[in-house]
Amino acid sequence: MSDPHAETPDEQRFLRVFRQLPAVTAYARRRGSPDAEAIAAETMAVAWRRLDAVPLADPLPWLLGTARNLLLEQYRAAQRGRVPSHAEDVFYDPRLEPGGLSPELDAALRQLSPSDREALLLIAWEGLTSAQAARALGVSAVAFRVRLHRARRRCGALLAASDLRPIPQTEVSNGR
Amino acid sequence: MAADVLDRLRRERPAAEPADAGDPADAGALFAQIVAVRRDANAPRAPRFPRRRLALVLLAALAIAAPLAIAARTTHVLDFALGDPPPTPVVQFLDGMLQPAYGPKEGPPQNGPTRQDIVKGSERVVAEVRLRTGKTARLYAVDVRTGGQCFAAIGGPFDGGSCVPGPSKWRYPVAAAAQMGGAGRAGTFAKNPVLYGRITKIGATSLVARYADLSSDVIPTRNGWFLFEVPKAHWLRGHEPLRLDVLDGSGRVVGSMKDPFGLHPPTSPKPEHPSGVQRVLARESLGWKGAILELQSAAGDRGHRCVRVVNAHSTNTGGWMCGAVVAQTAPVSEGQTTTPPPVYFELHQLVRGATPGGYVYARGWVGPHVASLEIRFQDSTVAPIPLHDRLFIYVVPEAHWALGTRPSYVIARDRSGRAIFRRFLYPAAPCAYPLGEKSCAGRFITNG
Repeated sequence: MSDPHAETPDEQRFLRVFRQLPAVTAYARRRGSPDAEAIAAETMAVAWRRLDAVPLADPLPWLLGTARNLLLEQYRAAQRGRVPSHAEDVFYDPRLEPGGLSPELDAALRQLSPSDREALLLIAWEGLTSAQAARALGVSAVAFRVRLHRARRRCGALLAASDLRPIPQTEVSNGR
Repeated sequence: MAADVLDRLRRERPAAEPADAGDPADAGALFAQIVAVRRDANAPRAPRFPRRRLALVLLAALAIAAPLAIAARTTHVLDFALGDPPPTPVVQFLDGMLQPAYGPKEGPPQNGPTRQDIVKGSERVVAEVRLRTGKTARLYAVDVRTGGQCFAAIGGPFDGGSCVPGPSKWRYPVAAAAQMGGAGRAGTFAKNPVLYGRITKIGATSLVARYADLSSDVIPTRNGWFLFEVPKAHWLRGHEPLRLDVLDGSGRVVGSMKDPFGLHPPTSPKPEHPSGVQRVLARESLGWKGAILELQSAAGDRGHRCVRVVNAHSTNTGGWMCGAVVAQTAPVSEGQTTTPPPVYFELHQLVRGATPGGYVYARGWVGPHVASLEIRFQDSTVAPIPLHDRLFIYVVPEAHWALGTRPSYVIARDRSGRAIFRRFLYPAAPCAYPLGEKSCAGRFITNG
């Protein structure tokens, strides 16, 4: 991305934040947003309004946290009038992604709690460190590490259970 | 398996690379569009409340605020916020009006507020009046942490004050104190008498002074506080204030205070006197200038027993105590029905400031269930206190004056040896023993 033109000191500060636009767009898209660009643009607009609150040295966690709130707001607006089974399910919908996931991983992620799932995905998909992911979720680094450890263990157990599941007989015969 | 989870997730990461974010030219346009809006004009908006939620919030606020407002109105808790701050001497006067606080081991539990309980900065003028002398008297109040307030009238015949507990604990409808500027002359009971205080009855709104000549005056109040100079016509005996009536909003009397100036005290019964032979039950040396302590007993002229302790050194020895005070069943006052503690124990001393020398002794009596009495010292030694017809005197030896060896408990036992009473004696009380400590300079203590 070529640098947009920044004139005032505030605009120059904001430019350092704005450079994270592609990462925010990708985040929104991976969380299943049908309008990831709009979410990213709104995130940047919020960052401009609250520029003093944005940690300029490392703005990505703050931006992802804001984008997550906007996604949740978008989801609530869409679901208003209905009773969702789980408010945060929308944050992971691999069916919207090109290529998709393996069925085992898809099933395992869906069985995790939203907070466990988000902890795993911020590390694995968004490439954040534990400290950055903790800031994005608004928890302490220690709490995040505990959550991540728990999520990895649970997800691992779910994947192991799916690996041990007996293979349907029809598939065995088809393989011969 | 858990260790592989992140690797597997990374391998299957959905394709949403930063390159998908759009055309760089679009990003530049977006940047320009965002920064075109002034930041201060886009400060975070207050959350919008739907009307229903707003109505609920208003209802909840009303439900909380209404009782608080009523309570504040009736208990006058906002008085301090409404008054003016007093000058420094008044703050010092209010501070000095209360007893100094001492540690839990330096004396018995303190009743009422101490200087430490004053809420600094809460001193306020709550009422004022222009006196006949042309001076202005003011009533100041201060909040105390134990609940309630202390108040002081400054500028009247003389400065004085009092304290009241919180309204919920106070069983009197009005807390009033009186000042009189000297003895009355030519048939008057006082000169420049002043009444001050506050209405403490919840729901009461006004105060009326009733006089002996059946006339009355409405006493002006401000948030329940009042400072009132009695009109000159009512300085005369026969016209003096007899009662303060507290009225509610409908004019109904909801409480009264009788005889605010204490001009008509209740008559007390004639005391009983010893008659007949006086017996000496015990005699001890005080160890001070050859002085002797004697425990004496005699029959009273109404059939009760009378006792006294005579200290040959002191003229401050208590006189005879007769009647039910030392009756056969328990040391209670006549007409009193409550059960007293099994032991009545007093510690007396002569402490001459920083000059060493004096004495310390105990005196008292025990109830009928007490078979023996003992005194325990800080060094864990124990000494019996001989009982003489349930009365006792005990001189504390000089070896037990120093801190670390002083009396610490008095213990009473029944016939089976079971302890039925135990009382802490506050051995760390400053200047309680005649050791001549420098810190006790100027504190001459003698109480018989």
